[in-house]
Amino acid sequence: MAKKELSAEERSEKRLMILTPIVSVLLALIVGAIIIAVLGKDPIQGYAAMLRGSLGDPAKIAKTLERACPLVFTGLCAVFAYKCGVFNLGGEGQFIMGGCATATVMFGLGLQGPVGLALGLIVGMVVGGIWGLLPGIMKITRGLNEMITTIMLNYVALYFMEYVFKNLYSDSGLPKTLAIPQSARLPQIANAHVGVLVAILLGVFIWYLIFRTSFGFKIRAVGMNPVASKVNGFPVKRLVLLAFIISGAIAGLGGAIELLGRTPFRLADGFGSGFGFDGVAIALIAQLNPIAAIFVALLFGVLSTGGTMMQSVIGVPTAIVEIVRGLIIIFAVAGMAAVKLPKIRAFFAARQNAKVKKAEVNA
Amino acid sequence: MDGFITALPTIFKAMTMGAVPILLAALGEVFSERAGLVNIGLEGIMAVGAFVGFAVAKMSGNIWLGVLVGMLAGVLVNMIYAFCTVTLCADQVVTGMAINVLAPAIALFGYNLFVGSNPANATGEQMASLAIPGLSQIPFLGDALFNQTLLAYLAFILVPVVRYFFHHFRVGLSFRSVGENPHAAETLGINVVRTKYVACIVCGALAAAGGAFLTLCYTPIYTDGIVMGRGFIALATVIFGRWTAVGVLAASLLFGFFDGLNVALQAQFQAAPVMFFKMIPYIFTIVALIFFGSKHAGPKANGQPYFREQR
Amino acid sequence: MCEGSWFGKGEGEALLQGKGRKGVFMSNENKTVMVSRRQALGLGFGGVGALMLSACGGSGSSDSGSGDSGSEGYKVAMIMSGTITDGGWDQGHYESLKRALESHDKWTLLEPKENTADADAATAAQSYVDQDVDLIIGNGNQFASDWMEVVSDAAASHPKVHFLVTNTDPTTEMADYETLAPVETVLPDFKQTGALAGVVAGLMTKTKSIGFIGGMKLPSTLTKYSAFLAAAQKIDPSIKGQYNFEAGFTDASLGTKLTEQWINSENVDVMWGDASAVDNGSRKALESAGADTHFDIAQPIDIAGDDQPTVITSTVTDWMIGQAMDEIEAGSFGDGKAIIGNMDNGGISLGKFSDKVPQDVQDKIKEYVDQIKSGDFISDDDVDQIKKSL
Repeated sequence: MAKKELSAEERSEKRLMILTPIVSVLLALIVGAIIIAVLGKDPIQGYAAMLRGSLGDPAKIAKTLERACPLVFTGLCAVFAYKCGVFNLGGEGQFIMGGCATATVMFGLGLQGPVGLALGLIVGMVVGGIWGLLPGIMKITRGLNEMITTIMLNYVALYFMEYVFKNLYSDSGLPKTLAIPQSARLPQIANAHVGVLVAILLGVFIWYLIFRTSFGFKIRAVGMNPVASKVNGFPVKRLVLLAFIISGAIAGLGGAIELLGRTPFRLADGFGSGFGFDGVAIALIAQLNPIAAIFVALLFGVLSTGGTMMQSVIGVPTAIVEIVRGLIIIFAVAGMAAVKLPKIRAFFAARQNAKVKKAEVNA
Repeated sequence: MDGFITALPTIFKAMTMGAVPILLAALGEVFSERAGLVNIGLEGIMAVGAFVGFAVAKMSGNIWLGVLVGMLAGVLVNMIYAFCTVTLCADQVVTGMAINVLAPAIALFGYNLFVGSNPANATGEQMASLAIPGLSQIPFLGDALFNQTLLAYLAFILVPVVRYFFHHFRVGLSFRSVGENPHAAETLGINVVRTKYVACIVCGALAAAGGAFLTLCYTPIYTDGIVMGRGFIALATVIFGRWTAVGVLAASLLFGFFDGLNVALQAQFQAAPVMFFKMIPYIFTIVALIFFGSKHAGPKANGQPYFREQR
Repeated sequence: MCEGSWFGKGEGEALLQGKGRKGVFMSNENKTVMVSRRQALGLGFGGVGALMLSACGGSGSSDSGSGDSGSEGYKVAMIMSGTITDGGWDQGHYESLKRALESHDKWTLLEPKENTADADAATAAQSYVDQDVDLIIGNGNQFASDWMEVVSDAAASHPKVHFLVTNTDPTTEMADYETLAPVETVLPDFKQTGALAGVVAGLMTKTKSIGFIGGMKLPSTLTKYSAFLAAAQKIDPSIKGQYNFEAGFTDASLGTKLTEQWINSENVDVMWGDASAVDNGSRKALESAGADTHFDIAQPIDIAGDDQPTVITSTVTDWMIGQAMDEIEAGSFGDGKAIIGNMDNGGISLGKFSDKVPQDVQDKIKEYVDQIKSGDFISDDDVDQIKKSL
């Protein structure tokens, strides 16, 4: 039934929704190029360096994948929460607490080998889920806006991590934890740790969960209209709490994988820094589609590793890459909203209709 | 205990100093949210205000010109937000997040150019404190309350002004109706879109002034990350202060107090793991929200896009 | 469910505009899924593809710009945690590098990589390895752990590339390295730095109360403070010290508040800072307490002057980059050696004095400076005793 109902208007809108993020990226890169050119450097050379630095050879692609990996997790964390109407901005805190839990289990119990690895991953996930549950409880019982509570909990997690790497498991007094023992690290496939694979599989799984199961259907229903869901007899509060837990667990697992899979295999200042907010941006550029989120995260990874390369090759300030990233988000969000505006929709629909009519006349 | 009492005047001083930037940004957010716009881009706007205020004051030698141009820059940045959320009806949270990525990057880029070309630019101008004779001698609170910069006094004076605005002016009342029910407001002849834009102008200007306070009154330098989450704290104080000017004042003073307490504890217990002291202001915010937070809602249409055609 | 929140019942709708807004929320299942799948593909390939398109035009010409700049010349690059204008740690490194370049005209400097996040530290190093930069400097010991992989890869594939990590002890901090062949570190003798500041503070304090703010609790930070207090107490045993090792490097307001607290409760009148921007805040507090009676000793660059009314002198650190360059030219660089910077080789020195320091005090300081240089002023035991009590 669904296919037949697709009017010309809807088809053109769909096309626009796919096109918008691409145009946004292009536009942002063009603005970036203009800034680079104004600084007297060669933007084409810079973007070429960006590509070579991120996708130039298999080793670089592996590094880019590893860089994108945590962003996939925080992105999925945001996607899942928002699908249920929960504005979880605490991806970073949950990610960090996941890492902290893994480190604590690993060093506290002196674990080694695959047992340590497995336990580390599980504990990271559980603690991330608990850290996500806290704002959920506050929302359900006291009606507190989760945007504020999750951001505050990010700071608490940040300082707690400092305690872990400076006081609890410091490496000979330095502000970093000991390194995860070799035997308990994630195995590698083609230069990248398997966490990348886990991230991709998780993305597919979350997609399946949200769009193909009745549980996912309920989650989406609550996200779209909690009142109607309640009327329909869905356990709204429990579903919202579950959304908090699951999204926290995703981020926590990401933190555990980052710690167990990626150099330097330690907690230190800057672990997970900015990943939470990046995840939110990724989720929304991906229009809350888990599989799209993987690709958007990859794009962010390319921007990070490639941007570093570009910066060093043509010698421009690091802030340019940040500006380009901010512009991509703004253009994409603005563009996607604009496409849905009634006036613009009408404009495209009119064009579409004109085309159809023309075709009819010609026929 | 003795140590605590000797530390009190300094804690109060830290409280009032620390409250001002949060208060300014939060008052701006009150305007924004009263008109139905949740703006989590405060953090970014403050960064721009801090940098532009710093740079213009340094270049011109005129601190108030710095504040003014800083506020203008804040308005400019917030116009991006306004255009996306009001005209295009884009999601407010994401737009705010994008501002938080973009604005500090622009500020840092500007700083690179400004100071990179001339290292002497690294240290900027500072506003002098004005002690009110007599009052500033009051023990414990005098120095904290009556020995401040003019910008800080202005921020505190703004509180009754904002309160009066929302309660006694027609414009203020129409502001509130836009946040409560924009469609009803429209039928009453209020220009909803224009009201929202005005709210964004006020919000951008005030948040940027809060940022400028950091570089012109607090410390004479700009660093990347100087805002240190104050924009997010300001968001929390708006809820905690229940969308009123007086409530926001109380909330930001309380936050300032706990931040001062954090420093006093750090100064006192030097061998303790100080990260737990650093958590205090944030944990306090959560606890305060749990106890005094808002089952009583804010503006009803807050956070929702307004489609004029959709009735 | 969420009447109390900002979003009320509209929050889901806001996010799902277009998909769910017009239709009844349960009826358009298949549509949503279909759109999503295509979007996914379009987004991903499109996004990356767009980047490729916009860049592939230039990939041919790019090699000329970043290629080798002649066999005679050497290239040096620095990766730093903050900005070169931070007035502290990073600026100190940058100025050391500039000094080294002045005396080494075969060397050219690439644009430094500022504000390097932990997650990008390895990539940043790799980007310079790819350009065959002869010397890559990391300005802090966090790079020691971040670069482990990059160094072992580069040792095999880019033998010309050398790494210098500052403020790092190779024996403890690079223990898990596979190879140290292309690596050296710089390790200033911070006991001397601390003693220099301690002598100045001990002679200048009237209240017998001095303070120290460090950005991060590194072993070197503890050494600096311990030597600082030991030297001051050598001058007057009644002197008391206040410290904070966790102030970070950016929150200037924390420096102000902390220093105000110490001035009011502990009568501190001389501060020594080791926390970049935070020191600026500290100076601000000293200035409002009275710049004629409250003094600051700056670090690690020489900034005493008219625009810094509270700064009486500076302890200056030079990161010995010139020596690393010499070794690379001579082919003797590497194997995990540590270059020690001290008062003999110019790695550590005292900057110029402001006119707040009377001539007789300056003379006395000079006398003690010579003792510190020869190692006679404070003993290691003095320092270790304080360090243990922290």
